[in-house]
Amino acid sequence: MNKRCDDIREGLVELAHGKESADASEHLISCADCRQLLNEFTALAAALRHPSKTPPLSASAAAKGLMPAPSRRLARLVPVTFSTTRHVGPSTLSFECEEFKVRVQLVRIANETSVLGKVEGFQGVVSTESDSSVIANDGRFEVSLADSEDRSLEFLRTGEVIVVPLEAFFDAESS
Amino acid sequence: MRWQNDNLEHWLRRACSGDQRAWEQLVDRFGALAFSVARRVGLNDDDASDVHQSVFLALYRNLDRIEDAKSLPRWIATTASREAIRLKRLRSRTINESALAETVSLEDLLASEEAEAETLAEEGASAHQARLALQNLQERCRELASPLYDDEEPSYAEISERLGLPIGAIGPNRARCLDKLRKLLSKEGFFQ
Repeated sequence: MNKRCDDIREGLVELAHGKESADASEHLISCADCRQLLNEFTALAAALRHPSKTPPLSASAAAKGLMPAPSRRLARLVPVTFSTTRHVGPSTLSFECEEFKVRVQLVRIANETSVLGKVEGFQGVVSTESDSSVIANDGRFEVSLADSEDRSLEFLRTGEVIVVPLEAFFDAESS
Repeated sequence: MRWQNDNLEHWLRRACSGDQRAWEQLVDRFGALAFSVARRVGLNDDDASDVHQSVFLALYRNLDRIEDAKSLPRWIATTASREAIRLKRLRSRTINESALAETVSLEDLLASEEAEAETLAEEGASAHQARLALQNLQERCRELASPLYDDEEPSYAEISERLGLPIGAIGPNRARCLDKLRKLLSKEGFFQ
């Protein structure tokens, strides 16, 4: 790979798309690296030329209907404790909802915020808008929050989604 | 939300837990892959829609068996191609039955269909992966690269007018964009 190779990159793209490039063709005779590149550009062009057909809306709707809508409800939270070691460690909030107890910690590292927690009396998956985690046998989980709008945990199990808003957490932390 | 391979696992996990919204995301994301593979086999829209439904029914029943989310596109493409080929054979059975009995054993027929299904699945999954990577390029790059794959490729003059780019700059910029795309896909093992 040398400067000449960089110069004929555009020609390789032309060849890969069925056009002509005398310079590139001549260079390929003596350059194995560029022959490999041409193979890759050609494979890429073939993949992108493969026709993509959108299914009819009725087909999509039928497929989406295979999974019944789960019941979705807000958990009624009762904060038990809140502690924070500001500037030193994570904030921790414990709360209970109707059928399970959750203890969560908010951990901020650089621009990323994660929720570490432990839940009792619930098996399934815990999820935020952008991340999810299977709850371990001992009830522990860790999920990340995508941005400032991502402020709830969803506990999912078959047929049911329990939404746990974290607003109380953020409110307590900022007060 | 823009899809990336690394959040496929998230949506698959949520769907596994019965989250309908996540399931709908999977149908939206992979519907075209299943449908396109079926159409590629030569089925009409109605039959391809049936294949599409079969694929998602199979996925729904096997959600908890997909251990690696990255394998999902290939799983969908393979399921679609097998189902489409099977349906195509059923549709043409009355025409080819007598010739088939004389010339091709059932074993050979099934082996041939399986090979065809694998090829179609590989092509479909590769196309899906390449399109997804294209979506992850910057908008300017997408606008430059995408017209190459339109049914009727626009001229450089048309692209120049649309993008406000000198004609002489289209080729070099497009080559750079496609090279970025090639490198992205190379990291994902696309060319292996």
